[in-house]
Amino acid sequence: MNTFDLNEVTIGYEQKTVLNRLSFSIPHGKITVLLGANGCGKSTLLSTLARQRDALGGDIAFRDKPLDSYRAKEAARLMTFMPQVNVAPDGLTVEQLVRFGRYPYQTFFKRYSEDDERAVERALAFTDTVSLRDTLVSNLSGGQKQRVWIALALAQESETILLDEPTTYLDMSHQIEILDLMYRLNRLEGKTIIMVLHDLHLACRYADHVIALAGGNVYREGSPNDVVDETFMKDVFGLKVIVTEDPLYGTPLCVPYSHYELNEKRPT
Amino acid sequence: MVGKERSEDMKKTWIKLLLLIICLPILSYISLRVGVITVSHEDVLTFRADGSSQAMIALADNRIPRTIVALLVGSVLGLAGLIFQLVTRNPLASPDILAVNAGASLAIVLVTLFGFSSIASFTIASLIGAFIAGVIVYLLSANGGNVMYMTLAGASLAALFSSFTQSIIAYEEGALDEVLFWLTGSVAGRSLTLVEALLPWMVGAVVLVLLLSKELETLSLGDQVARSLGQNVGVIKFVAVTLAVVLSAFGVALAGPIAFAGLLAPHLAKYLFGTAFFARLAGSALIGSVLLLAADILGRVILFPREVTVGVVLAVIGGAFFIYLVSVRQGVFKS
Repeated sequence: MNTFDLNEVTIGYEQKTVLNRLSFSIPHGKITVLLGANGCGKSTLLSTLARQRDALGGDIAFRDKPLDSYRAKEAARLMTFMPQVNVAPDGLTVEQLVRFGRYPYQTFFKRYSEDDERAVERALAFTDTVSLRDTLVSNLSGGQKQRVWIALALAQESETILLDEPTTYLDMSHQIEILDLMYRLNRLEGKTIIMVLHDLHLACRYADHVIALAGGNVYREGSPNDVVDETFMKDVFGLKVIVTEDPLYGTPLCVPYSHYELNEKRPT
Repeated sequence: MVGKERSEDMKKTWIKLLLLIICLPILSYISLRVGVITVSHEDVLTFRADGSSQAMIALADNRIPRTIVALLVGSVLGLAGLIFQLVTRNPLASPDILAVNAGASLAIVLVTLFGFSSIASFTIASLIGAFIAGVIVYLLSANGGNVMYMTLAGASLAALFSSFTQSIIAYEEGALDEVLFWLTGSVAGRSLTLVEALLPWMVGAVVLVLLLSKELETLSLGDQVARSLGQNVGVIKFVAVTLAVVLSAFGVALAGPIAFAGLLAPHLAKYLFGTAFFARLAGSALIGSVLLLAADILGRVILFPREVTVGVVLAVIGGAFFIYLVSVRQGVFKS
C-alpha cells in the first residue's frame, strides 16, 4: 500500500497553475522528501496532501481512498501536518499546547480521557520535552519550540506526518536533532514521514525516497543515490556542482561551484 | 507538584469568575437605586409594578429595564468582541471598530425614516445592517488579511456609515429625535417589551458561543494547525463570526452603537484569565456586563442631576484604553 497515490493532479491558485498533471506515489512507512528550487510548488503540494487546500484537478488517494472522502477528524487521526511557521497563543505552556493534539479524538460529549493523557505523556517523552512541560512556549529556544510542535503532532497519534521545512530557522546541531527525531519516528514507530527540506545534503542523508519537482512536474523520483547527480542539479537548481559521497553515510553530497573565480581563496 | 499547581490555577480562575459574578447583583442593586428620583432600599425590596409611588414608577419604567439592558448588552458586546479578535487575529477588532455597530445603526435609522417602528423591524434592520457592514469589511480586507488593513477598512467604513446616519438625522430633524438619543448609545428609555422579545434569542446566541469554546480555542493555534487537528476551520469561523454579528446587532437594537465595550472586555478578560479559555470567554461576557452597568451608573452621578449616556462614558474610558493599546503596547500590530 502507498500512503499517497496521485493521478493527473493539478495544483495551484485560481490564476496560476503551479504543478500540472502530476502522477506519482509516496510509499508507506518511508521517509519521503520533496525537493525543488524556490517557488517550484513543493510546499503547495505538501499542503494539498495535508488537506490544507484543494487540488485544481485530478485524483489524490490517501491510503487507497480518495483524500476528500475522509471526514476532517478521521483524517486528523491518520495524518498530521506541521506548517513552516507556528505561533502559539501568548501564555500557553508546553503541556497545554501538546494537549491540543488530542482534539481529533474528542467530541462534544467525550472530553479529555486517560488515553489522551497517555498519548500526551508519550509525545513529551519521545521528543524529550517532559522537563519543559510547564514552560511557556514563547520562552523556548528555536530548537525546543520545534520539538514541542512535533510533540503536538505526535500526540495526534497519526501514522503519517507531513512537515514543511521543519529545520528552516535552526542551527546545524538542531537541524540534526530534528531530523534524527524524524528518523527515530520512522524506524522505531513505523511512521510515514513526508517533508519539504531545503538542505539537499541532509535531505539525501535522511530520505529513503525523494521526489524532485521542476518545471511544473516531477523531474525525477527514487532513492537519493538514483536521483541526485550533476545533470539533476543543473536542471533543477541551475547549479553546477560536483557530486561526491557523504564521507559518513555514502549518500550524495553536492559541492557547488561559485559563479566567480575565487582565485585568492583557492590553494594552488 | 505539577498537578497541585494546576489545581491552584483552577481555583484562582474560579475565584476570579465568582468575584465577577458577585459584582453583577451588587452593581444591579446600585443601578436600581442611583438616579434623579430617590429609590430607597425598602423600595427595591418591596417593588411592585403598580405605580403606587414615584419610586415604583421609576423602578418599573426606567431602573429595572436599563439595568437588564446594560447586563445583556454588555455581555453580548464582550462576547462578540472576543470572537472578532480571535477569528480575525486582530487585537483591535470589535463590533465598533469593524463597523458592524455603525452598519446596524444606519439600517435602523433608515427603517425608522420609512416609518417602521416595530420591534421586529428594528431588530431585523439591525441584523441586516450588521451583516452588510461585516461582509464589506471582510471583502475590503480579504486580499492581504492584514491586521492593519482590516482595522483601517473597518474604521473608515464605520465613519462613512456614521456620516450617512448623521446626514439623515440632520435632514429629518425633529422626526428622529428619539433615534438621536438612542444613537449616542444609551441603555435608558428601553421598554421591557423590547427586552422580553429579544431575551430568548440573545440567551440562545450566548449559549451557542459558550458551546463553541473548545473550537474557538483550537482555532487560536492558527488555521493550518486547527485544520491539521481535524477542525472544519471555514465552518467554525463562519458560525463564530455569524454569531458575533448577530450578538452585536442585538446589542445595537437594544442600546444603540456602544463603542469600546466590545474592545475592552476581551482584553481585560485575557489579562485576568490568560489561557484558561472557557473562563476567558465567560469572563468577556461578565466583564462586558460589569463595564456597561458601571459606566451607566457613573453617567448618572458624574453630572448629577443630569445624565451622561453610557455610550459617552464608555467612549471616554475606551478611547483612553485604545490609545494605550496602539501606542504603549505597539506589539498588538505585530501579531
